[in-house]
Amino acid sequence: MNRTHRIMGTVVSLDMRCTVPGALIDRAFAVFDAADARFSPFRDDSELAEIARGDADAETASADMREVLALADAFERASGGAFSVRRAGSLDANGIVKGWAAQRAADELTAGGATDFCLNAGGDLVTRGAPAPGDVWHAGIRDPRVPGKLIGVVALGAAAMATSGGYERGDHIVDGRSGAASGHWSSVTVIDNDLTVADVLATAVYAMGTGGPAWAHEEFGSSVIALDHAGRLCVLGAVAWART
Amino acid sequence: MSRRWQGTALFAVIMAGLSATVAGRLLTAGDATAGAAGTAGTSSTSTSSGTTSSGTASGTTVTGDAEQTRFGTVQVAVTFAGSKITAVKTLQAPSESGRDQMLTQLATPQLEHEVIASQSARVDTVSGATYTSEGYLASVQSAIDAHR
Repeated sequence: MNRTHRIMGTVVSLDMRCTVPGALIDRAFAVFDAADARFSPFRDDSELAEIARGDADAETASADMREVLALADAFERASGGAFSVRRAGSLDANGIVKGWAAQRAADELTAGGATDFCLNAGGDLVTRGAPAPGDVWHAGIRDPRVPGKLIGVVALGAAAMATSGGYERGDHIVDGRSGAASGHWSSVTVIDNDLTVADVLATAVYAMGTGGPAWAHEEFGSSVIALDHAGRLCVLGAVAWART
Repeated sequence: MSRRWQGTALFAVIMAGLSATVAGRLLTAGDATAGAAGTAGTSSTSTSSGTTSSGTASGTTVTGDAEQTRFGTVQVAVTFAGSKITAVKTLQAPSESGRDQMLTQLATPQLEHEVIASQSARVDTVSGATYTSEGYLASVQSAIDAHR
């Protein structure tokens, strides 16, 4: 069963290969709606916008807000400031909220009895179980240089994968340390157990440049697949490339 | 800082790998030389064009070819006692910037082959899109669904 949901300026796609109640999928998609309402920087009435304006205090914010901001701060410290949700007085949690929400939605599905599914939130994904008995999920990584082409296809069991890159939005990732657009990597994919980690690390590694992949792999044990602008591939950690 | 140390350690591992490759080829040459009644100085065989630069009581030192890599030139000198390696000295190594590239450029030909082969595998889902146009994912997903 395939269901899609448009939210956060992107598309969430759920490929469910086991039988579950439709209400469970509704609950999982509702996680994204709630996250968007709370964290959207584009909605004046979001809690994040209120905090950014100074109308609300981060100390007395909702539990979700405090959790996300605490996570963001921890990653900011760990990355030496390369990853940051605060920039020039503004607050933008987009670099962490999508992964965090998708992980939470996946956990909701698992808790509700779903065993075999792939949840893809705008290119960041969580896989559980298998597409068919004895099979593995195959996740393609888009090649940012050639529309429609893949860098490669990775075989996944229970995993999370996130990719940062230029793609349609151009160089949209900024190194929090310098405020400048990062230019070393064309695409950075991180595979981890948790999509919050994978999503943030993909952004941080992209922002950090040359030393990023080794940092993410050594500090977090994640696997990293990075492609530079010359087309050279850097792979750190175990990656199971799909076989035909 | 620990990151620097890890980088250095990684580099050391890569260099050790490179040295072993070069030294392995030279070892074959050393065996051939040893087989030729221990006459030093004629190490050119089909497997190596390394040159024997000295033969002393403590061993024979063979200078490896200057290998051009993407990161710069690598050249080592290996000292043998009979067919056993007793020392490997790095004569040329990539520059600092070359080392930085090497740290992040770990894909071997074998790995690149695996990656390229994977491109024609079945695809269930796609990572790596930040869609401003909502159509892309929907389109990809529909193609995937249709292909199933």
